[in-house]
Amino acid sequence: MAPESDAELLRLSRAGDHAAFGRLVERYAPLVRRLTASVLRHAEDADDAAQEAFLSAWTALGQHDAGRSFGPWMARIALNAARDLARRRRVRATEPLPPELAGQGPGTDQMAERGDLRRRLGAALAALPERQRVAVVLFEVEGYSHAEIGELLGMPEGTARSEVFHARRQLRAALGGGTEAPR
Amino acid sequence: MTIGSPFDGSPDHELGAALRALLSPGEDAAFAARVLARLEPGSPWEALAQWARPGLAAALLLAAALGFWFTLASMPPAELAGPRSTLADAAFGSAGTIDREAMVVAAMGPGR
Repeated sequence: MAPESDAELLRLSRAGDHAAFGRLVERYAPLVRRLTASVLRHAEDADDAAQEAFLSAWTALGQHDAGRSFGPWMARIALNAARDLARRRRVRATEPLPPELAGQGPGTDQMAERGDLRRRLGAALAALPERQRVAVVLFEVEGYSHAEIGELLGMPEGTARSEVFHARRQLRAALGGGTEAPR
Repeated sequence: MTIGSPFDGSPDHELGAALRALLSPGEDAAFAARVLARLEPGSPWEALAQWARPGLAAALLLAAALGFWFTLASMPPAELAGPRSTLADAAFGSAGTIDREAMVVAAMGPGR
């Protein structure tokens, strides 16, 4: 079966097709869940916010400009949902990134090393200001350009570039000195 | 990779992979199923939403009825009798004698 385009799935979703919207959810769940996790730093809260984001998107599908990409629109809704939840759960939002967000605990030396690397990366990410966390995730993981990040976060492109730069420097330092890739 | 300049616009793939592994909880299909379950008619969420308003109204009615009953039950019997309002009550004074003027007013209304 040929993969359906976002536009086609959006058209069907707007007509009330839950299955089509479900395929959009599956397609964009990784992006949305990573963004909510980067804002909230709490696995369960991140999933709650991600669910709320998709439910909000479902009710607001009529407002989506069919001429524009679904991803940035969905990302904006996800960020709003995460920030809204963060405001309501201010205490939790100040906690460091929990180990469960970094996956399973280490079982062998190699896994222990990898687990330690993840813990350090998680701690470094948690120490960044929210807009740097989101900017670096959008740039390094989601492949957004500085201009797109600036538009999404409501800042000039140069500021987005600077936020990504500073975040990367901190994260690279946490991963091992700033010049060597993690193994 | 060395990050030497803020103007370096190329992504750091290793850092990207590490962040992806850190932030991706996985099981996206199960997550999508949970979202869809909240959209489907007849889902527990939808049922809750449908019952929320009538349920709240019924609860308020019940609370009002219970409050009224409790107030009545806690009143002394003398207060329950209430003020005299019948023709006989108006016509007979506290001593049991006929008050004719009051009787006429009660029967015909004031101003006659």
